[in-house]
Amino acid sequence: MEKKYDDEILRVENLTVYYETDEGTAKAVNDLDFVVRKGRTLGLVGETGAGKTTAALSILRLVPNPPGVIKSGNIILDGTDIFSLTEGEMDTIRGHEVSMIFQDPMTALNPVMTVGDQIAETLRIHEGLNKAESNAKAEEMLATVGIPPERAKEYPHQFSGGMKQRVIIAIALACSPKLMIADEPTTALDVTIQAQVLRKMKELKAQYDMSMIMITHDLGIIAQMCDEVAVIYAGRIIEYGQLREVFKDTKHPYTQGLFDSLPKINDNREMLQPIPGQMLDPMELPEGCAFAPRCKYATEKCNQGVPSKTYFGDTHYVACWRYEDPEFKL
Amino acid sequence: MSEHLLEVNHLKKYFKTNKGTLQAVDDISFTLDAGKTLGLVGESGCGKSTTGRAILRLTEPTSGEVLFNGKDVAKMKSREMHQMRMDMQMIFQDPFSSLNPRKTVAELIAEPLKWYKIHKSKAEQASHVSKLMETVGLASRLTNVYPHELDGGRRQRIGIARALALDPKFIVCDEPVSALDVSIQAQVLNLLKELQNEFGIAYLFITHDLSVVNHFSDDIAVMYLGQIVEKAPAKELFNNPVHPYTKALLSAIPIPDVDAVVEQIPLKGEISSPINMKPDCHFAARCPYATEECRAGVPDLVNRGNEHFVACHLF
Amino acid sequence: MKKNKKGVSTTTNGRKNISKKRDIWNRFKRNRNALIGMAITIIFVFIAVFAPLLVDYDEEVIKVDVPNRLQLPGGEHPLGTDEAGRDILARLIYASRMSLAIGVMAVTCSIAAGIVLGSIAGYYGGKIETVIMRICDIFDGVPSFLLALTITAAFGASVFTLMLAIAIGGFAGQSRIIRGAVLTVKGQEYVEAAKALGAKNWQIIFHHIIPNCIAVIIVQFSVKIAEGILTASALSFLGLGVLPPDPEWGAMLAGGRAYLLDNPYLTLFPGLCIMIVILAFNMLGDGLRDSLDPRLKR
Repeated sequence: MEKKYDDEILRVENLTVYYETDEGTAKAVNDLDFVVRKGRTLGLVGETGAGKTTAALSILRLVPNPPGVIKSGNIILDGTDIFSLTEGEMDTIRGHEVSMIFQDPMTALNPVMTVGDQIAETLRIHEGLNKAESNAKAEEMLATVGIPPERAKEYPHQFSGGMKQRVIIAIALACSPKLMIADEPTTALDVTIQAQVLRKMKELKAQYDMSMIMITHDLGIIAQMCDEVAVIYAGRIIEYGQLREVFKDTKHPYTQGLFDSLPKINDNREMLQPIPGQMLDPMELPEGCAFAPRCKYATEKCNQGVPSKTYFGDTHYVACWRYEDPEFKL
Repeated sequence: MSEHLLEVNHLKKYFKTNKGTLQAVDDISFTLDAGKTLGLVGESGCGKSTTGRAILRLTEPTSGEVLFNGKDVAKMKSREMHQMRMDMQMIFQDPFSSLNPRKTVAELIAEPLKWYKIHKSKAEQASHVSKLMETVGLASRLTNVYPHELDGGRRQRIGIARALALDPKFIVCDEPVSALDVSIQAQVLNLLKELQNEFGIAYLFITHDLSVVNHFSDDIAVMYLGQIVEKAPAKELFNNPVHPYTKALLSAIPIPDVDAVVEQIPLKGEISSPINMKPDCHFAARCPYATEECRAGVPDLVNRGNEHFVACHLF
Repeated sequence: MKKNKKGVSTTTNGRKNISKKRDIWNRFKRNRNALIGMAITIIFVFIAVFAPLLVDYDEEVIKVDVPNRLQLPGGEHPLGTDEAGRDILARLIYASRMSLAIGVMAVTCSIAAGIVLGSIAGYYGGKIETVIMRICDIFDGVPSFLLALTITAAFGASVFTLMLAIAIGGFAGQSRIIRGAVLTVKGQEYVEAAKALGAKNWQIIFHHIIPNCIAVIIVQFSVKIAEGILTASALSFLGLGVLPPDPEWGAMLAGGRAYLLDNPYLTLFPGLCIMIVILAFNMLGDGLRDSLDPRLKR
């Protein structure tokens, strides 16, 4: 259970989500806890299949069911438990209080509607604006994300990838949400465009005084964008802390492994140090620490039960059995 | 006549489209020596993949020479080309779509051996396949598994084993790790490196990720809209980038270090259309330093010493 | 390929590591419909092959026995007798030879032609494609019945001409459908990968393109066999195929039409035979298609 804060926007407690299929149960998210505070950005970092996206979809109650089943947990959004809401009440939250930006800007827009209409539609649904008002606001939103307002009458195919992602950001921002969830927002973009989009997102976050959850596999983006970091492996947070704590005082062997695997810009010609082995199949998670099979520090204990949290300071914690030994260091 | 393993001279590849001529690769030249790696870097649409494909003649070059061991690949008849492919292989970006989903791991790896009738008996071929699997780190129990049952890293290892099967001297690696997770990416990069050290293979390493090529390459060429804008030994390029585009590209990489101070060079707009380009510096439209001269003509790729080539009117 | 004896090792996810053929069979046998379809098909093929041993052609199949005409099913004639007093069961058994042979052979020919022409047109493109597809357009433009009439008029009515007529009537459509499938597969990266590995064009076509079009081909096969049997019966009815007194399901069906109200079993039994065979082929075809695709669930 996470500590209480006065300014928390989102609290996720013991969230467990499974995908139940004919072939077995994939344990996508296991007992996840985190808090997002007002005006801050939480980074969820992990590899493919770590459960990042499932966690985000749960917040909007968008986990596809079947096969997805939310097994347990509470999600409290600005004081409201979202699992107690009706589907209709949920609709007013999605896109209004919480909005989401998806990875692929190519498929997230409706190809037969002008981008202006797509922004205006959100405004008409949530803010009850009339046609003229919503169109005017849509143009304003386009200008905010750095697209000339006169392009509101164009269709998505007339925009490049970076521009489309800006349009999606404009839609997400249109109703001034309290929380924005960005799921790998720049993965499909080129680096120079990625830099533009990230810069814009950071600017807008400050301007709108939003909180943000940034889902990514790129530690570079985390370093640039986030205040808090949660490292996820096999559906669990294995290390959590302030950005500086996680980056400068890395505790979990997996987090360390991620840093070591990255080719560094300033050390040429040297073998990388990859994490051995592959990510486990979420259908066959072991009883103990899910990272143990790939961990060079693993002991007998690591295979016997999920590790509990060990705290270093106020917020920084790690889920690793080895820290039971106070002498243990990476 | 040529001491280089691969020499590309004035290679061009144009595509005809409804809107006009798409100049995917527009007059590029470079050389690559045996056992070395040339990193070819650029953003999507800059023509880097087309360059790799044109060299292997997976797409026919519009004009220019591709000398491999002194022989012009671009002018070869199909029988000669068939023999040549034994020495020139390719590793593809997407380990999901580049493997036939109906073949097992062993069948996929055996394919090139079959095409070239390397082995007389099935048993010989099978033992070669299992040796290749061992070389690339695929467990023998995966012999009869289908690619869709494997993760991206293992699939990419199949792609590598296929490329290695005929003992090539040169492999075009087209974004071989960009579909993989970081921890797996490092495993595959290390494997490629080890194979190079062991077999002396030359790589043309195509990627959009500058940090990967820096780790991997001897020389790096940066492409923008079909042309090489800067080419230098890897260290030189990173320590002393000259072209405004290279600088912007380097500064745009998010660095996983909270203390990193990077002065970002913002670029205006996005890559322009490669259709019916004017004879100017193609980067001028986005370049913060562009002058009249830049819009007037195509800059030449000039050696500024230390094998550092730059195509920019400012120098 | 390394053959392992019996499921030697297991993969990480604890599944047996088995050879490809066994894998396909495993997936097939788990599909109940496919097994039923296969069983029925085997029974019919068996009957067709051994028909001469099961019934006496001269005595039971073609011998006219007017006093015993139009007997109800039961007793000496389990399925009754037709308008000429011939045993319907015996005729059905003998007819299965004709119907199956015509249906299967004609469709095999038209699909084989379709695979060759469709793959060439789809894979090579350009002028070859234009020529092939225009030829197909011409054949498609002529009604298949007219075509069959012409062919029989030219070569004389016989079972062989009937097969030829059905095959020629169908190949244009097959080519067009297979070309479409080939175009889709041709765009896949693994085709380019094979080229980069040094595969020749025919190797690419046989090893990569056709196997990945197999779903389309099998579906076409099972649907078109049904159509082939029906066309054959229609042509036989017009006297352009199987000639009386030889039995053929379609011809029997046609012959029984006059007695539809009073003696419906004359049409019922051949109709049932056609229906069951078509159903069996479809079930078998679907099962084969699914079991040949390793990506589908085990």
